[in-house]
Amino acid sequence: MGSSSDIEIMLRVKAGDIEKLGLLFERYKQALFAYFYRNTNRKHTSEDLVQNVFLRILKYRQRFQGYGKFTTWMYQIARNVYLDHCKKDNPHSSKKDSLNDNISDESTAETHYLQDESIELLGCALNRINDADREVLILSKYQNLAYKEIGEIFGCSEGTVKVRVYRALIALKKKYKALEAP
Amino acid sequence: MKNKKLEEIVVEYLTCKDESLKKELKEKLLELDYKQHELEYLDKLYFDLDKLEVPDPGPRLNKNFYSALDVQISQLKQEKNWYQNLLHTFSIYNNRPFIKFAYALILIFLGWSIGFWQSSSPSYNKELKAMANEIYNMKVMMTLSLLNQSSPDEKLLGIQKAGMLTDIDTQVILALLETLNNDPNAGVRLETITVLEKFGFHPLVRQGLVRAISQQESSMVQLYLADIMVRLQEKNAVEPFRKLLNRKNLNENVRDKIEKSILVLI
Repeated sequence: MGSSSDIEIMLRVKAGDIEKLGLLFERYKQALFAYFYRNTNRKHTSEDLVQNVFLRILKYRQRFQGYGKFTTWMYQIARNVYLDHCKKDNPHSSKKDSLNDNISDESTAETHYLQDESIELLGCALNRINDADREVLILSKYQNLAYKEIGEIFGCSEGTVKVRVYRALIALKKKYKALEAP
Repeated sequence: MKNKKLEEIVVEYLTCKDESLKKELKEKLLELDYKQHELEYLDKLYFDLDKLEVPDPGPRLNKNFYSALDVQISQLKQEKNWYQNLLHTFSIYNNRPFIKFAYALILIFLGWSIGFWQSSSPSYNKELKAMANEIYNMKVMMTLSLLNQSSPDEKLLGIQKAGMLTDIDTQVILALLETLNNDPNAGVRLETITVLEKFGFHPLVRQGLVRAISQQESSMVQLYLADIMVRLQEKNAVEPFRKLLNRKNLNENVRDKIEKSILVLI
């Protein structure tokens, strides 16, 4: 279903038909969960953050204008939810210190993956780069967003987004190499 | 491509899905002295990022979200119900006559309050007075202008306008007396007397009417003046009436009327 349909649904939510928010939730819960999980590496926290995004969409539904893509607006909210979460919890401060961070305290058996060692190290390296670098990398790599959209979310140009992605990759490479070293 | 930074081209290369374009970008980067092994390393790293798995969200996500949504929906319904109840109550009572009467009373009270508030305002009264003065002056000017016209129609209109003035102006009295004594048209003169009688309380008007007795040749005007003098109880008119009686060519009816009027006045 295209973005115009997202907009139509959101406009109905705005008009008071808030049951329709369930449709958008079903459509984007997985993508948002992945976004938060890759940023926090915590399953329950990510689930809570996804819920917070949709509650904020409901709360600020009157501010939705229907211009541009719905996902751009949604990820702007998601990003704010994530930044608020970082301010409140600073969840990475303790996580980054351990090599076993990718298996979080909330992780259960279902979050243990059969990844080979190098991929596991890459996951650790991703957790160790700074929040801003990780965020831009995740949005560009996994969330199926165009650089222009990411630029709108971050409030910068498309070119600046590309430069930030590059710098995030260089930071990731450094962390990864450091973890690879015996 | 020329204005793009090297970093931008590297990212475009890494994200490019078109093999031929990707090859082209690689060549370009190598031309720009970007290290091949570095590029290949980043390419592999970027590719390996896809291998990082993410678990599926647990059932609590759905459960928590839909519970929260239900709460929001019921809250919104309650808000709607409250508003709809209020509207419903209004719609029931709106049709009752006493409510309509109450609305009417409220409107009257509001109108009265606004009117009272405006009329009691000193600046409003001042403005109103200034405006009334301006209108009066305009009316006087128009009346004088019409009385100065030679056409009987326009003069009659001027006389009519003078009669409509609420507060008589000396200039208008003099203009009316001038018309009474000099206008050749008896009809105009009769109409002038009618208007002057209205302002009979003014001494200038009374004096003017008394003086006019001796100057009138028309029997109709003389008869009318006799009536007016009696109505105004103007005793100063006796002497001019007596002088009029001395005229040999005086109409018999007029003579009779004047004699009776003298008897009433003395």
